[in-house]
Formats: sequence, structure tokens, C-alpha cells
Amino acid sequence: MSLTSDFLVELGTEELPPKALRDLSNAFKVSIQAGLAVQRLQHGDVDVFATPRRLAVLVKDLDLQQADKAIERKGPPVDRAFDENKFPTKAAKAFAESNGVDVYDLHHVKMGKGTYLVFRGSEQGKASKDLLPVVVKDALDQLPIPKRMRWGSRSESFVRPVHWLLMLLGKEVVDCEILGLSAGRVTYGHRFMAPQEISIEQPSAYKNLLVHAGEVIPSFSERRKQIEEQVIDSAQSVDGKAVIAAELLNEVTALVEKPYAVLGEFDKRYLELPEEVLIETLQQHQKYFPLRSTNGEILNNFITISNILSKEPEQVKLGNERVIHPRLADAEFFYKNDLKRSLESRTRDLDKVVFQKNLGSIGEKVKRIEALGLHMLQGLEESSKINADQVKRAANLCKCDLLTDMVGEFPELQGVMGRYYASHQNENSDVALALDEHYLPRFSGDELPSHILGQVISIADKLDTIVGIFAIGKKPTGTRDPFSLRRQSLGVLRIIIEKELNFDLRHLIAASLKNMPEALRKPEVAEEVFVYMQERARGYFLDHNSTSDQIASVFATNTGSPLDMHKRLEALQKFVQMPAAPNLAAANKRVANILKKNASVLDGLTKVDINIMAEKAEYTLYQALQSVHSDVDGLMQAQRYTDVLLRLARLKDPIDDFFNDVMVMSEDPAERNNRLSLLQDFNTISTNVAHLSLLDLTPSEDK
Amino acid sequence: MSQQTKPVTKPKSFQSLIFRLQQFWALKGCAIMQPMDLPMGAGTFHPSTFLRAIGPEPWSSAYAQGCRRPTDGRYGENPNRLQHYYQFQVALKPSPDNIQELYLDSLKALGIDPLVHDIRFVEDNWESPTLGAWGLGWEVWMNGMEITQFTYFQQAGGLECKPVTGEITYGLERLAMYLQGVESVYDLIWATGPNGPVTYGQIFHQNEVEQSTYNFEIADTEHLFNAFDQAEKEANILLEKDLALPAYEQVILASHWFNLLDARHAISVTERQRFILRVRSLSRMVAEAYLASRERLGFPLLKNQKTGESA
Repeated sequence: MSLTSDFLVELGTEELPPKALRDLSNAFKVSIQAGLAVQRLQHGDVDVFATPRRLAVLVKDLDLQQADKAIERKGPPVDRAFDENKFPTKAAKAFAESNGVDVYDLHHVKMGKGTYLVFRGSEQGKASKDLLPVVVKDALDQLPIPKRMRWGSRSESFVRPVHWLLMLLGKEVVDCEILGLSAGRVTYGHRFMAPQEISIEQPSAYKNLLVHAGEVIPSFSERRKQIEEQVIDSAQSVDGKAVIAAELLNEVTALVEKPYAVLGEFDKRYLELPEEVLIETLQQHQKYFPLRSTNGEILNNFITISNILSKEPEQVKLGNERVIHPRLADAEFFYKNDLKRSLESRTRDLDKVVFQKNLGSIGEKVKRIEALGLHMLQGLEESSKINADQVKRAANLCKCDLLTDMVGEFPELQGVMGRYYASHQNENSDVALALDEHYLPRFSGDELPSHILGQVISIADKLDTIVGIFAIGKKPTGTRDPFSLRRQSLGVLRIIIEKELNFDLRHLIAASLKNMPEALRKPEVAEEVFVYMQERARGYFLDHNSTSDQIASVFATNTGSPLDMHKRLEALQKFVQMPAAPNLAAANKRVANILKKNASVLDGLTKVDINIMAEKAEYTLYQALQSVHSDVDGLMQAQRYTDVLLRLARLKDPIDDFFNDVMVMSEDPAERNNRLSLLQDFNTISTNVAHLSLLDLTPSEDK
Repeated sequence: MSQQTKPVTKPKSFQSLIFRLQQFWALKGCAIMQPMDLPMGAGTFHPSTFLRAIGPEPWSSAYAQGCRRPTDGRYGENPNRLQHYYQFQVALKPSPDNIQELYLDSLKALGIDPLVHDIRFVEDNWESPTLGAWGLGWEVWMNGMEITQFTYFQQAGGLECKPVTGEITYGLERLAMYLQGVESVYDLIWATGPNGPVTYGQIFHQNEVEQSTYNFEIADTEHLFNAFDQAEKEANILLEKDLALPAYEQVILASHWFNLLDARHAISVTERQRFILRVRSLSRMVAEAYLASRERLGFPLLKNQKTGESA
């Protein structure tokens, strides 16, 4: 057992970017742990601290000393190490000397064909205090900093200027200089409430001293918890329930060193604004928590988290109330102003807004959405009651709110405002809803359009962007995806699959491409887009319990409908659980190989002829195929893939027996061709749902 | 530093707010400049910030600057929005290690106690596409209201800033409204004279109405396009003759003509980017010409540096 001590590093900075704080802090911790591992230093738990003005990591029970390292160095071969008089040669002596030992202390070790002189020893471990500066420096160098900055006349760069560095191993300062700072044992408390120096005797004292003498809650998670509790309490004081968005909670936690909830209010008349506008203003612009009443209505209150316990809390409250007022007044002005014009009257202005240089204006995009939407309408079942007029209307209005003052000021409210303005002008309610829902899903895991109209417009809009961007040669590369085609592709797939729409992707892509400017209608684009979207589908299915081999076996059937792919995969997942599955998959592989080897003769094969059959197993297989055949066509039509695969499972014994008893490559050409023909039938039927030969299943050992 | 705790009264007028800030920063060693006599969108355009941020020479200055934002005009009807307003600008090069403390002390000098008011440095990264300049820093919040923009310049005119200039920009109207406790900018007291208080509205309301009318309705776009072209042409001629300072004035003018065209909605979205790029490329050339001209002069301000080599 080696001796251990706690190790603490704290970097004091100017206020760090709140949205990056947690990532920086986690990366700092992970890098330090990795650095310690590289240095072969064992340790106990690792605590992490992050506030706007500090990043800190506390490593418990860190080895004070690296373990000694066994070393083995190979020298010259023994037969060249000693001369004819058994005296060491020059080479042997030099090797011994370089290792600081006598030639006779070296080991003789047989390695491969020869025996060699070998030095065995150990390298003494270094002291942790000498290794930690490198560990910390490397960890800071590796932080994922989006933009580094310099300051003053210094050459160092970091997220923001740095002011102090605390590094303690036990009670000792780890002597070093990093980012132009000499390490010490001093930290500082809250910028305003406890700005004095605080000397830390040993790492374990750090947290409590900061909390009690420093007026700082150094732990991010504890601070977040305190904020959440305070917000909930504060909301209860007005019988409200706080709207706590996780992202906002994290951001606010990264904006204070010690939280104090302050409840404020705003003029009731602003409650007439759409609640999304209120929430957006409070959350996005001011980092406030909005409140709802017990029955869910938005209240004219907000909660802000102050960084100080003010000597005059009323001032903080009044100050914040003064800020929110002009913001809401602006929003109210925009809202009323926007309502003066109908959405429809803005359509012609969309011609002046560029969507993309080579793809024309938003006005032109809207025309394409309309065309594709109408095309899709033909593929819908009778039961989904929307008509062409609704599709036209929704397509034509869906981008109009981009030209309103409100969306100009609050771009996040695109769609939402369209819905409000449409409802206000008594637009058909499905159309109004579609204006909002066609933007869904906005991010991974977001909800999908609930209504078929929104689903159609959403798919048409997204697909138009995907196909258009591919057509102008700007498809995503590596990590560069400026038009977020990855997200939009996934959105299209999710809507089709999860809302159970029977659209064939190839048809949709072709239809979309037809709407593009003539010069862009290159046929190869369609296949390119399909392959790209199929890749996204692969990712989607992998995330939904399918395996690569299952997906490959379904894609091999060339089906272009994402919903159909999904159904086949669902059936496959049941199929692979069946006892017959592994053998059947193996048999399919074997059949596929045989057919591949005999590819040249396959085209000329005639129908299976029972009169040429010499073996019983041949006939049994033939009969089994006949009986499966009679059912499968109808089941395939009905996309009842599980039932198809159940039928196929019946072929397991016949095909196994066939391979046990029958020699396919018979000397007799007629017999051989007849058997190949039989296998071809087998192959056709077992590639219906998926190419079973592509499944990776271990066949069972029996038989 | 100045940790004295004697209570400071708040400046009672707009002009005394400016005086206080001038005095505070003068005592910290800033050269107090006067506003630039050209129309500009922000105090950063003043040569005392943009040009002085370029090259190795140290520089500390502070000044008030009138700013024109034609699109923000509201015909004097909005209590918070103006097409002409004032910034108080501080440029410290190299940025001192205690620049945040200096700034907080300046707030104390205005009677703002950071133990009463919730002061926060909230990430805000600044970029001026026309000046080819960017920096990292914060907007400073007081009880949730942005009162100051705080930036460490990393690039100006496309050139790396070495050393780095620390820029502090106070929004004077907002700060004054807060200090005077008024809801409308037009109610601010600018000064108190023999006939009682003179308000911001009495001085500037007519200007807001008339200038908004000009900016949005009357400004002759054809003339403005020509003026823009002319300024660009003139800047290029001046740059050929190594006259960086007059060339820079043409950049300031071009930028203002562009802002006016923008207010007239005379520039489409795609064209907008092209105009910005034209001004930016001028800014870059000016920055390079200015650096070269200072170098030819032997970077005169380096000789003032106390820590300079005497051996």
C-alpha cells in the first residue's frame, strides 16, 4: 500500500460562458482522471466543482508516488557477449554499463532462436507532486473551448482571463506555473459578498470554507438543486407552479455563485399575448422562470435568480420588473401590428425573401411544398380526411409568419405565431395547426405533427430542402451540415414510420426533384438522396433495437418505404427468436453461395420437374415450398411479415434434410439443374421479407 | 484598490453622469477624448478605439460618442428606442488584469452598490462584420438589465490584437434612466439650468421625429448608393497614397450610408452581405495601412511605456 493524500486544483477565472460551463467542468475532470491513469497514479473518488468564476477538481486519496515500474532491456546475444576465454566482450560491457550493473548481474534469456543478455530492474516511480503540474496543464490544454481568447499583453489563451491557481496535494502546495499563474493555496469567495482571500489548508477543507467563508456554493449540482427548490418555494408563495425548463435551470446555475430567488410581477394586460410569447421573453431574453396557476394558466409573475443577497431586495425586484416591461411592451406592439395584416397578404412578399441562391425565394419553395403536398395526397388512404384545398392553403401560408414583426424579433416562435395569426383570422383549424406543426420535429426527440395535414406539409417542406440542397451539390460532408439535413431527414423518417404513413421514399424524392428548377433535375440526385436517407434510416432502426445484419437483410429487398422497412424489421425481431431461425439463416447462406457459384447457368434453368427427383429429401423440400408458396403471396400483399416468416420456419427441416441427403452438384446435368432450380425457388421465397442469408445467427448444434 | 465605503450619491443629470465617468476614468489614467465629428453606429468606430486597438502601442482613453442607428428610430414614440443615442466608451490597451474591478469601481462612483444591485457578467461575444473585428466578453447586467458591453478585442480590421484592448461601452441613456428612476428616455434630466430642469425630450424629441422621417421616408436612396460608391472609391484612392486616417473616415461614412440604405429597405438580403463585405475589405486595408504608417513612425506611443527597456 502506498501513501495517499487528497489533491485539489482550482482555476479562478473571469465569468465563464454559462452554456459551456458544465462541458468544461466535466472535460476538466475527465482529462485529469485520464492524466492520472497515464501516470499510473491510483486514487479514490473524484469531486468536481464549477461556478462562473472557477473550475475545480478534488481527487481523493491520490497516490503520493508512482508505483515502481519493472523494466526489461534486451542486450547482445550471449554467444557474442563473451570471447573464447569467457571474458565479456566490449559490447556486453557497454550494455551492462549503460544499465549501471556488472555483466554478471545480467540475465541470460532465451528469446526466439537465440539467448540474449537481458537487464531486469525497476524504474523508481516519480513523486506525484512532480507529475501533477503536467496532468493539470494537459487537462487544461485539452478542454473543449469553442473560442479561446488572449488578454492584456500575455501570450496565454483560455476561455476567459484567469486569475488564480490553487493546487494542493495534502497540505502542500504543488509548486508550478500554469497559464502564467503560480500555484498557491489561496482562493477567493463570492465576487461581491466575500471578495477576500481564503487560504485553504488542505483539500478536504475547500468546499466548506467556500460555502461558509466564501458565500459560494461550489458544486454545480448542489447549486442547481438549491435553485430548483427556491424556485418551487417561491412559486408556491403566489399559489403558482414554476415552469422549469432543464436547459434554463442549467444556464441559471452557471450564472450565479450563490442563488437567491426573487419573485417579480408584470402588468396583467400582457397576459393577453400568446403564452409562448410570454414564456419566450421570460426564459430566453431574461433567464426568468415563468409561473402557471394550478389550472395551468400562465401567471403575471416570474422568478429570477439573483447572485447576491441584496441589502435591499426590493431594488432587485423592481429593477427586474422595469426590464421586463419594455420587452413585453415591444412584444405587444409587434403582436397588434402583425394582426393588422392578414397572413395571406404576405404571401407575395415571400417572393422577395431568398431561400437559397440557386433554389430561389421562399415564395418558390412554398410553391414546391404545395406541389409535393398535393402529390402526397394521392398516396393517402381515404380515411385520412384532408382535401387538396387544405393542403394548398396550409402550404401557401406556412412561411408567411416569417415576415411578421414578432417572428423577426423572436425567431424561435416561427410556426407558433403563424398558428395564432391564422386562428385570429378564422382560418380552418386544421390549417392553423399545420402552420405550427409543419416545423415538427424541431430537434431530436421532439414531438411529431399530430394531424395528417401538418405531417404532409412537414414532410414536403423538409424533403424539398433535402432534395434541393443535394441538387445544388451542397450535401453534408463529415461534420459539416449547415442546412441540418441530417435532422430533417430523421424528421421525415420519424413522421412516416411513427405516424404509419405508407409513402415510398423513392417516389417522394422523384416527385420532389421534378419540382426543382430544370437545370437541377439530374437523375443521379434521386438515388444519392435515397442512399443518404436510407443511411439515416439505418441509424434510426439501430436506435430501435434492430441489428446491423437485420437492417442489411431488409434493405437488400430494395423496399423504399420506411414504414414497410419498419414492419419487416419488427417481424424479423420475432423471427430471430424462433428455434428454427439460426439453421434457416445458415441454410440460406449456403443456398445463396451455391447459386452465386452457378450464376452463369441460373438464367437457363427450367421449372422444377418432380420426375427428375432421385432423393426423398428433394421431393419433401419441393412439397414444403409448394405449400408455403400458396400462402405467402397474400400475406406479403397484406404486409403480414411475421406470418410469412412463420411459414418460412416450416422449411427448416426440409432444407436441412435436403443438404444432408442430397448432393446438389450431381454428375448428371439434368439432376443438377433440377436441384439448382429447386434451390432458386427456395431462395426466392426466403428473400421476400428479408434476405435471410444476411442474418448473423449461430446455428444450433443439434443434428 | 479603492475599497472605500463612503456612500456615493447618484448623478442627478445626464451630463453629470458623463462628467462622473470622465472624471473616474481620467483618474485611472485615461486620455479623455471628444466625440468623433462623423456619423457612426457605435463608439467603437471612433479612431480612438478601432485604430488604436491595432498594433503594439499602448493606449488608454475614454469618451462619450453619439451613435446613429437609423433603423432603431421610432419617431419619438417609443420610450426606449432612439435613432441617435450616446455611448460612453473606454478603451484600455493592454487590458489591465483588474479591468473588471476598475469597471465595478466606476459603477460605485455612480452610486451603484453591488451589494444592493445584482450585477452580473453574462457571456456575450461581440463581432462587427463591417470592421472585421471581434472579441469575447460579456454584457453586464444590473438587475437583469444590460447596462454595459464589455469586450476583449481579439481582432480588428482582420489583424490580431496584440496586446489586447479591453473595451467597456456604457449605454448612457439606460444607465441614466435607471439612476434617475424614469420610465421614458424623454423624461431624463439632461441638466438643470436657471429655468429649471432641461429634459432629454426637450433637447432631442424633435430630432427623433424629424430624423426618423428622413431615415425612413425621405433619404434619397439613389444618392445614398452613389455616396457609398464614392466613399469606397475615395478610400481606395487614399489607401494608394498611404493615407490611412482620411481613408478610415471614408469607411465610417460608407458604413453610415449603408445603415441608411438599410433603414430604407433598399438592400435585399443577399445584397446586404455584399455591402457588408465591401466595407469590411476597406476596413482591412485601412487597418493594414494604419499599422504600416505607425511602424514607419517607429510606434511613437511605445516610447511612453514605463516598463519599456532603458538598458
